[in-house]
Amino acid sequence: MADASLTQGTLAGLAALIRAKKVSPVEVVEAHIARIEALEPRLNAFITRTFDAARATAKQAEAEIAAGGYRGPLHGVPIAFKDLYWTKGVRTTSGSTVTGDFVPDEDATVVRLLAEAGAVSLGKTNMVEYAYGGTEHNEAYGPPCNPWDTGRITGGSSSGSAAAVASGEAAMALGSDTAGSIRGPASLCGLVGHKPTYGLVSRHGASPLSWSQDHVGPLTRTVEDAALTLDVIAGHDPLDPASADAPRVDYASALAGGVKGMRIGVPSNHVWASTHPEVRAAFEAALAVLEGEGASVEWVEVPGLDEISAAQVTITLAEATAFHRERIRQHPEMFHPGVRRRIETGLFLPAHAYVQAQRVRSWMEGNWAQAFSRFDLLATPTTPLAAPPFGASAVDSADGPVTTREIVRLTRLFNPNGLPACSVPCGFSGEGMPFGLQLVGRRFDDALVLRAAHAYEQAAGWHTRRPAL
Amino acid sequence: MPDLSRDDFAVLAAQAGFRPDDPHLDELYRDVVGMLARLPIIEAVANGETEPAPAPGQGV
Repeated sequence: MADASLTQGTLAGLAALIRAKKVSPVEVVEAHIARIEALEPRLNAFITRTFDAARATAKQAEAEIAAGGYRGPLHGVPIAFKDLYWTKGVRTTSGSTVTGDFVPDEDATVVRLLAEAGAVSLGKTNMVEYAYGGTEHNEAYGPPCNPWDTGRITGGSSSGSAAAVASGEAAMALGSDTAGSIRGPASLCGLVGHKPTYGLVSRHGASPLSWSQDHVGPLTRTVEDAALTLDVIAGHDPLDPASADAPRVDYASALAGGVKGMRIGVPSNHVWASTHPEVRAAFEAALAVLEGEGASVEWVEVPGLDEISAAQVTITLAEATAFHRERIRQHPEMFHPGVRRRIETGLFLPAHAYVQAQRVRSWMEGNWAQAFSRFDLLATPTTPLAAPPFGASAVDSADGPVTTREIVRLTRLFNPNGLPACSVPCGFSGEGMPFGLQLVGRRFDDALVLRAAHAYEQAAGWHTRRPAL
Repeated sequence: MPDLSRDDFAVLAAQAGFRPDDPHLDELYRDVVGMLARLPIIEAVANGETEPAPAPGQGV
């Protein structure tokens, strides 16, 4: 009989139990498989399950650990991959039937690194088709449902990864983030989602949406779990042309230290144009917690947020259409209608607009530098609203309707320039749905971002809540 | 490219390989017009000597 309690803790907690040999990886993996089999009819978080391989890997881990060969905190821990990461011999659909039969002959670099760390993959998680959207259902494989209310969306595009971790089906799942596809689902499902600095984590073997804005990162239940994962997946990869040869950092060890003396800037512009009042109230309460922990908070106008938001959309249009051009011509009817229209819209983007968007990215560097000369971090809500019901185009609020297409409005700001950004749970709506606080730092200052997120998380305590499934 | 007319869009669509009777074109036209309407915001800044940044950390 599988021990269901093993699915309710954290990655770090499981690691401690496994390391102390109080529980074996086989027991842990069996508990998660039982959880998946029980919940999947309601959640639909997975496209492909790899239970036979998981059981074999768990047995191997059990034997290695018994023989004194403990590899580290990921050893024997059950995880999952968004289904755009290449997995050797296991189909990788990218959430589409167009490439539904694609079976890679190699692993993505991050898949390989996590396997070498001893993690046990339970399978491939559902996602918005080709990661191109923040809210769309997946018509080909069915929509993943939010564990906090299965009548609501998880957010996208790492939708299945969020559902799997929030429900206890996996201790960690990798997502990818071009406009907010890690942070948005984390916010809407009560999780931590970290978008690392561009270049810190290899994109090799991650099917692209927008080469210059795609980021690889984890969704977890705590900041510590995200840091433990980043410790494994960060590092230079010659197979990724954008990979940076940055100094090695122990992110988990760098979590201690709190926020005392940190200077946090809050953009007074752009962010508040259409944000649900419940989200704003929770965000302001989170700022008070950070101040209580010793940080200083100041509201400030950050020039260029409207422009960088438009540039992010323009760059995505150009790069995504370039990548999918042949597929959309050959199989337009096989795409989700919304994804299809976005890709086809890019066919009509003037060339100069793509270059101009890249000039805006260049110009914005100065604005970020100015902001980070005054502040260690920037803070915003992660999403302007909590998870809406399936099919809703807007959510009512005391300030008027907030449209669901706004879901990535606050996250996409930080993709064109590759800034590290972490979403951490910061409260719940009146309907019991979570939302997140977004903390953003200078490039390659992921350790500071995670340290502040950890300090907030531990002071606020929202991360201990679990959905009643 | 301000005020793209439906007729001009049809010409561009044909060049892009769409059939003129494709029922999907009306919806696509609305999206394309919406996209073009957003471009002035990026055309108003980053002029002069600013070079494009093909990826984060490049350019300036």
